[in-house]
Amino acid sequence: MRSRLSWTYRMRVMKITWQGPLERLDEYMWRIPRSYRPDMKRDAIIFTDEQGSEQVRVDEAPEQLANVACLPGLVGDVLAMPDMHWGYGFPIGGVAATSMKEGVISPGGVGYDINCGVRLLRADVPADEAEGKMAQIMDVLFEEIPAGVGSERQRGFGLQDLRRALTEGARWVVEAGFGEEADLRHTEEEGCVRGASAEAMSKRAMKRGLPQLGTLGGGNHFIEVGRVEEVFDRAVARAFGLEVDTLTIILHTGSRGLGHQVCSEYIDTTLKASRKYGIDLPDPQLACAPLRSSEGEAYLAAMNAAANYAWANRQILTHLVRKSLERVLGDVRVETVYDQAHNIAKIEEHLIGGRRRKVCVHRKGATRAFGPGRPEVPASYRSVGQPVLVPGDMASGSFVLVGTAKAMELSYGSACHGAGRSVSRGAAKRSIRGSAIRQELAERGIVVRASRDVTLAEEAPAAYKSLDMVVEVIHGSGLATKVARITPMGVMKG
Amino acid sequence: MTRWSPSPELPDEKKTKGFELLEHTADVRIRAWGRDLAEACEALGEGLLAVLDPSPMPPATGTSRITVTAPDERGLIVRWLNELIYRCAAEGKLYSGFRNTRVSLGRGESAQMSVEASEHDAGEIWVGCEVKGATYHGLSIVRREGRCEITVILDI
Repeated sequence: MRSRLSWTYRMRVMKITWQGPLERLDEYMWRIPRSYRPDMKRDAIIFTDEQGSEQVRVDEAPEQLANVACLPGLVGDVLAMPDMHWGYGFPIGGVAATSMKEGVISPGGVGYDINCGVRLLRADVPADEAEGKMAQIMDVLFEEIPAGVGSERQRGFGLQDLRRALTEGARWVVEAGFGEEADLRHTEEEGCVRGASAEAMSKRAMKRGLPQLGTLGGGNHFIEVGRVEEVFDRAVARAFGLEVDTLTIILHTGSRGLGHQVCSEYIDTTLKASRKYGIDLPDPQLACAPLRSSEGEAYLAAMNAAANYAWANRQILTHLVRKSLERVLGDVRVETVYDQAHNIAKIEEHLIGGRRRKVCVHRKGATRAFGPGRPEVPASYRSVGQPVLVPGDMASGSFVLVGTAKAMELSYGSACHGAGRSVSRGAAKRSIRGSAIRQELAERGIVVRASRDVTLAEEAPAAYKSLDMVVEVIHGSGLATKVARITPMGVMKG
Repeated sequence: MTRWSPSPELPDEKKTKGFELLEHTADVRIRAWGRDLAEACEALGEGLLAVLDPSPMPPATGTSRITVTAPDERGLIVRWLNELIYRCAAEGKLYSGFRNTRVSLGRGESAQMSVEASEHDAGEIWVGCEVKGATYHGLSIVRREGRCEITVILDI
């Protein structure tokens, strides 16, 4: 195609080194003090280690975090998780909590893929038994689940279905017969956040999202079949139904084009609102509106609807995974361990400055990590804390952590969401061929199915930070603690 | 994994209209230029097509005129790209050969751009990259010496 265009076309890297102040607070906490810039209203805290504190300087992510610290109505410091990297508006891995009274909500603090998230399933067949049939399992998954860029279902849903997905989320899917009540109990917000409104969403968003309901999508979205390789905390692992050699399936996807459209449109709406309410923005991508404004309320309602769409989407995929495994393994029971969002803004209660306050917590590329006792944690896990799902790259696998009381003190009950990219997709594509990745994974016993080899190159393991470093920081800082490690046996990419 | 080295070649500054794709850790940036805002926006459209990377490029099925409005020229640029992204994602339409662009800048919602382009029906064609949206982050418009240059980050 490019040869048809008589345009100049080049790729190049621009190296940026952030020179701002980064003060060490302890082994895992580093601070950009509010004195760095006159417009900062709070400190910015980065959870990382000594090596990571140098690595974060390679791009603009720390400056983006300093920008977030300029938003009005923050109730405390703004935070970044150890998988932080350069985003737009908020850095990926950013967390900020705003006051319900004086605070704002920002579409840029949630991101385009609203409620992009992860669901962990476990099967009652030992992984060893499934391993010999992995090629067949991945073939059937690839056949059953629409994947790839702009993937659409052959037999789509209707507009009424979409409206129910927006307001009822995963519950609509379960009531339609594609899931179990237990799936809902083990899903954040039970798969349906309140306050969602389809009316707050444009027809364009619905048109973009309707054919993609029940699809995986492309980019970094994936389905991974794996095994529990190592258990670090036997008691908590038992509570989560995990032990060594448990067969697991991880789904990673979100609200597809519907969420992208909602974000694009509401950034324009909130840019206008920022001017209307006299909010100075260090970056227009941080456009926001007071939570108690018509614009802020409308965005929250549309974002919640997109979040429900994403939970419905992962519930539909869960049904397709069950169907696929039954086709290959016969009688197999597949249960949801947990499903959590990592791009979302939530209204939550936190103990801040000695008093309980209702705040809006933005988590962009960060997960909720509530500790024991919180009513939001599923009853079956409430005594131990919430599962925190941290997927890594295609080769190194994933971690299951558990939320802690310390996370409630330090991070509004938040933790990391993954490994975080260290190399751009373009650079990764030029560095290695997809076929080489496929070969390398095959040598490690990992079966790969992908719509296109180039996706494998973009998502090459070497394009991501070390998941071990990210998890060690989270574990060491006490935001969440290690429960189990999962290694992949089969990976499906869009 | 072998390390990538950037191309030693610089963009062809002599060309009056063009684009290049720049690196960004999680996303991609397009730098596009022309003799004025209209030409730079045409080049941005071609840059977006390069990011979408359809393989193979389907033949043109007709000509279309696309109009966007915004409060200001920055908004116009973002909405222009978002319009093309929406049409690709929701309608399966791709556009190339951007031409005869008319831009009028004013106050309020009066900034407007109208662009003529060849329309392609993506149909079953693979689009190589899912572009979520165009962002305001790092958006720059630089005018100097009879040239307009725009840089935009796309979320992919």
